[in-house]
Amino acid sequence: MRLVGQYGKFLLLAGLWLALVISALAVVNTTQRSRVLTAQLGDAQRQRDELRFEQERLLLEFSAWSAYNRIEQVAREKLDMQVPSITEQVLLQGKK
Amino acid sequence: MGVMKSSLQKLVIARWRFALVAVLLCMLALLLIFHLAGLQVLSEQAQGYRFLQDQGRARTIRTEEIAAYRGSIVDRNGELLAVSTPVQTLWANPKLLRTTSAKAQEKLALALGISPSKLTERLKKYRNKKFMYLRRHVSEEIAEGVLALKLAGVYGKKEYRRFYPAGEVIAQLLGFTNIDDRGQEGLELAYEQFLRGHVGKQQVVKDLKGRTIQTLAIQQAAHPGRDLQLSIDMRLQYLAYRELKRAVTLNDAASGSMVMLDTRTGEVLAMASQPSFNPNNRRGVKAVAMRNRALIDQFEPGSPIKALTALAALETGRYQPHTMIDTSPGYIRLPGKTLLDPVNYGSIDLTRVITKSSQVGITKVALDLEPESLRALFYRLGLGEPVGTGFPGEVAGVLPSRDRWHPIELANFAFGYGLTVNALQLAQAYSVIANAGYKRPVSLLIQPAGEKAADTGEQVVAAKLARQIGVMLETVTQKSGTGKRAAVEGYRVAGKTGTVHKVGSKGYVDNRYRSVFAGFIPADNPRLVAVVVIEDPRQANRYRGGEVAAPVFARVMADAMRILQLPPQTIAPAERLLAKQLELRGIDS
Repeated sequence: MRLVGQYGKFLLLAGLWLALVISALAVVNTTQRSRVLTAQLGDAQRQRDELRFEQERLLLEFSAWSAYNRIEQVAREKLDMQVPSITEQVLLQGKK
Repeated sequence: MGVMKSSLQKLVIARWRFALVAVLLCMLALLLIFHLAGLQVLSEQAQGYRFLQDQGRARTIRTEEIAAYRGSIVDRNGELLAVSTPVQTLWANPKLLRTTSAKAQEKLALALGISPSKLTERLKKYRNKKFMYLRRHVSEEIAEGVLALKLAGVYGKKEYRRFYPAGEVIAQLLGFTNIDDRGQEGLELAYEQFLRGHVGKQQVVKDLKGRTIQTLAIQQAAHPGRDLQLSIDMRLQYLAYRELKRAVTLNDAASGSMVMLDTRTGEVLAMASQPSFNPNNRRGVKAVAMRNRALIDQFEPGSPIKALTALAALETGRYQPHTMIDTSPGYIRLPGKTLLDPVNYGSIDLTRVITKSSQVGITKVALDLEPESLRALFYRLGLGEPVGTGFPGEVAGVLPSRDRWHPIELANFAFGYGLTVNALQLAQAYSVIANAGYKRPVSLLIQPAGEKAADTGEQVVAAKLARQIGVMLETVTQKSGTGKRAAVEGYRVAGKTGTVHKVGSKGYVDNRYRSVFAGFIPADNPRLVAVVVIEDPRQANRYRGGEVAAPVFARVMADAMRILQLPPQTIAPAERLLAKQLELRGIDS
C-alpha cells in the first residue's frame, strides 16, 4: 500500500514534470512562431509601402505623359488633328 | 613497508586538501548564487535587476517611427496636383566617419557628388556633433551608391519631397512646401493642418539581424495627412493658363490673371496667373512670379463696374433699359475734370450706354443716383470684403465710404475708379448678374453636389433687374459693341470690357493701361463666369480691353464649351446635314 502510494506520487510528479516540459516547449514554439509572423508582417508592410510608392511613381509618370500640353502637341503636330470649326460640326439631339 | 607508510601519509594529506578545496569551491558557488540572487531580487542595489533589465532592453527594444505622408492635392476629377514622393536623405555621424581612412572619405564625396575638400571641411566643422546631413533629397540611385560603400557612420533616411505634376500651370494657387514638407505658400500653407501627416511612434523588439520580432506598444498612432480636393478643373485651368500666357506674350504685357467660376455652384474652376514659375525647381525664381494675382492683387476695375451702376439705376425704378440719356456733345464738365466719349453718341438709351461704354452717359446716370445706394449695391455684390477663400494674402479691396460725395468722386465710382477689387471679387459680382441676382459663396474646394449641396446663397438683387442687365451685357459682344472680340461662335456671350489707366508715381499715367474683361456664357443660361485682367500691354495702339482681354475670354470659352459638352445654341440643321453625309457614303437613311 505504501509502495503503491509512493509509486503514485512518483507518477504524479513525473506527469507534472512532463507537462511542464511540454508547455515550456509550447511556449518556445509559440514565441518563435510569433516572431516569424511579426517579421513577415514587417516585410508585408514594407512591401505595401514600396507598392504604394511604386503606384505613386507610375501615377506621376502617367500624368507626365498625359499632360494637356503634350496631348495637344501630339494631336496637332504628330497626328495632324485640329479642332473642328462650328460649320464642320453637326449637333445630334438625343431623345429626352 | 616503507613504501606503504609513505603512501598512507600521502593519503592523509590528500584528504585534508580535498576538504579544504571542496569547502572553498562550495563557498565560491554560494557566493555566486548569493550575488546572482542579489542582482535578481534586490532592486536597490546600484546595478540591481532594474539596471540589468534596462540594459537588456536597450540592446533589443527600439523606438521606431511610423511613417505618415502629407496628403495629396487633387483637382475635381481626381487628377494629381501635388503629391509627396519618397526620397533618400543621407546623413552621417561625424565622430564615426572621421575614423575612416582619407581614401574612403574621398570615395564617399565622389559618390555624393561633392568635392572631397568640402566634405573634409564640413566634417571638421561638425567634428563634435553626432549628426550632420550629407545630402538631402537625393535619388534612390545616388543613395544606394553611397550606402553600398558601407562606411562607418553613414546612414540613409527616408524623407518626402513634394512634386507638382502640373508645374507652372497652377503653381501660384497651390503654393509650395519647404524641404521639411511643410506648407510655405498658397493652399499648401492655408490647409497645412489638413494636409500634414503626423508621424507615429512604436516600440519594437529587434533581433541580432535587425529584424522586428515583436511589437510591444504603439506610443503614438500615425495620422497620415488627408487629401485635399479642389474645385479646379485642370482641363479648364490648362486652357486658361495657355491663353493667358499667349496673350501676355503677344501684347508684351507685364502680367495677367484669369478666374473662371461655375455660376451654378460658386466653385472656382480655373485661376491662372502670369508670369509663373516651376514649383518643382524654384532656384532663381523671382517673387513676382509667385503672386497668385487673381486673389492678392487689387486693382481699379474700370468699365465692368458700369454694368453695376446701370443695375443701381434700374433699382431706383426711374430707369429702364430703354430710358434715353442725352450724351451730346460727347463730353461733360465736372468741377475739376472734363470727361470725354471717343465720339458724340448723341441721345442713346441705357443699353446703348453699356454697349458703347459711354463715359458721359454713365456719369449722367450716376449723378442722378443716391451715392450711398450705389456703394451699398457694390457691397451687396461682394465688393469691399474678402471673398473668403482662406487663401493667404487674399485682399478685400477698397470700397470707400464718404460723408459727402464730390460729383467727380461719384462719377469715378460709377465707371470703376476710386475703388479696388481683386479678379475673383469681380467674377463673383458678375456671377450674381449671371445667376439672376442670386449670390453664392465662392469656393476653392469642391462642393458636394446634388442633395447634399449646402445652399447658403442669398438673393441680393431682384431677378428681373439682373436679367435686364444680362441682356444689356449681351449687346456688348455683338457687332457694334466694345467687346465683339469676346464673342464665341455658336454661343451667346454677355460681358463688359474695361480699359483702365494705370496709376504711376504721379497719379494716372496716360499711356499705360490695364485691359479687363468680365463676362459669362451662355448668356441665356449661364454656366461659366470669367474675368481676364492683363496688366500694362506695351504694344502701341493695342491696349483696349476689347482688343487684349476679350480675345482671351473668347478663345478659352470656345474650348471650355466643348470640354463641358455644352452644345452650340445656333444649331446646325442636323437632320439635313446627316442625310447628305449618308447619301455621300451611299447609305440609305
